[in-house]
Amino acid sequence: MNINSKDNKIIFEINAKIYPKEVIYKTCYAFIDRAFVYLDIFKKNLITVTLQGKKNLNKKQLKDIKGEFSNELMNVLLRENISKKNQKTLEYIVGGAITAALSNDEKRAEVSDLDKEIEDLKKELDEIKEEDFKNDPLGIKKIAGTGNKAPAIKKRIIKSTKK
Amino acid sequence: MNSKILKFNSELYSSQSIKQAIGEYQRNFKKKDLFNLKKNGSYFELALKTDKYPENFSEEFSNYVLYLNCK
Repeated sequence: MNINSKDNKIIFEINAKIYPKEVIYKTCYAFIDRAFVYLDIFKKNLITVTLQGKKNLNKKQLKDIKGEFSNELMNVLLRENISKKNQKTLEYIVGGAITAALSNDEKRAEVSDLDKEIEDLKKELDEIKEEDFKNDPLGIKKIAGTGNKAPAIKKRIIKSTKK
Repeated sequence: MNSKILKFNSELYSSQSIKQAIGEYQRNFKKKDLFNLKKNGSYFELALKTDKYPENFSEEFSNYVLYLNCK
């Protein structure tokens, strides 16, 4: 750790094996409003962090800001680990919610199909009702016990059975 | 006019975020010829002319690149 109170800076190193880059970036993000943050690598797996206060800071305040940075690193690391552990559970919950929503839609689609079919059937029934039953183009009414002559087809059938 | 060189380690900073930051600042300052980005070994070197910019410009610029890198 190197404190340069003249330049309002504190320089320290972070082990990249302990803290992944993503964790370091997220921590830096939390400090961007209070300090100028600069990252560099001089040795393998050691990330050098330079924090330069935006306001004038004394030696103690520079040490404090470094301490807060380290605490935030731990905080972010812990959150990352927890979110990794809970990722599958979250995926299950979200997946379940999505499938539930989808099945509801499917059910709605089925209901709407049934409604359509019912409406079509009603229309057909209405059309049948509207048709004039007194018109008897096939001559069905005459066969049905009125004593009238059967249609020509019926006569032919009767003749063939007699032979 | 003094020119200053900002160095960004290519392992930690992406060229995309540097270019984006350059674009944003050029739009803000309405200048197009003040930045020169080169890759030198493991560093991106950004040459900029500082006289026209406010105090702490280079620090603000580095912070902005880091912010874009974090996103």
